[in-house]
Amino acid sequence: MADLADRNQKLKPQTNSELSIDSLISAPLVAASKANAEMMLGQTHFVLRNCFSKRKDETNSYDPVMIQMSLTQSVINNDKNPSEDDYMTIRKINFEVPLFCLIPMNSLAIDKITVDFDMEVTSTSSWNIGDDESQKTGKRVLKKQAQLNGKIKGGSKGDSQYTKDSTSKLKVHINASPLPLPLGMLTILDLYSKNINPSSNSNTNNND
Amino acid sequence: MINQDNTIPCPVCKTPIPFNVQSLMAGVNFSCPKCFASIGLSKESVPVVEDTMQKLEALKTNKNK
Repeated sequence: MADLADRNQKLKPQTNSELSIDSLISAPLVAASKANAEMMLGQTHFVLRNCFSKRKDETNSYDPVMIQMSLTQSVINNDKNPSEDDYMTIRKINFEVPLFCLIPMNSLAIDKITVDFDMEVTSTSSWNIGDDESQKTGKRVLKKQAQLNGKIKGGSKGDSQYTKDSTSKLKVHINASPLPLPLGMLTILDLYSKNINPSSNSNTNNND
Repeated sequence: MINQDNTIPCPVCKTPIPFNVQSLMAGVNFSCPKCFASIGLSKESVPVVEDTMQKLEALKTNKNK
């Protein structure tokens, strides 16, 4: 119970707490990248579960689920007279394409994010960059590094100390748009697009 | 290319044939603008495509969660 209470206390939103500027900027960006990853993962799982079948052997490779399509074409027999019945026949050919070729996948992703806030700097801190750090980077441009801490500027309502309600304003604008499919998917699609070769179906009645 | 712009190359002349999945499932055939060959979805493949499209819609609307 005590653990749960501690956890709830940690998760409780704190509108007036001091944060480093790094955290303020990175929090919406991390959230956006998590959302992007979740969308991509969902789509990948969908494609793998529904458009591919896993081989039950030691290779564990995936085969695309194929669907059958039919091609109907009128064929004129030049050896025959136009008045004859067999002059024009309808040829029906079946061919297979992978299922995911027909599914309209739009890999939607967040491509633009704007973070807008007014920050009220409440404290600053600085420290010397150690020799170890400068040896790692090979350069020593900065001798000191600074850290800004502050609160998001907002407003407050009410005039007495009991009814005062403070707010923080952090605006996050997110724009999502469809991105190109992953290279692997594009390669498979390109491969199948260029190699759709129909094969005659002997069971099909040619004159229907 | 298939899927990217909802076209499928004509198996005869390779001209892109525009198609719509919903119409394909309904039994509509789409004709090649060049050689007039028409393509359609075979009846036995309709349930597979329908099932996958329903799952895709569920994924879009988060119904599976």
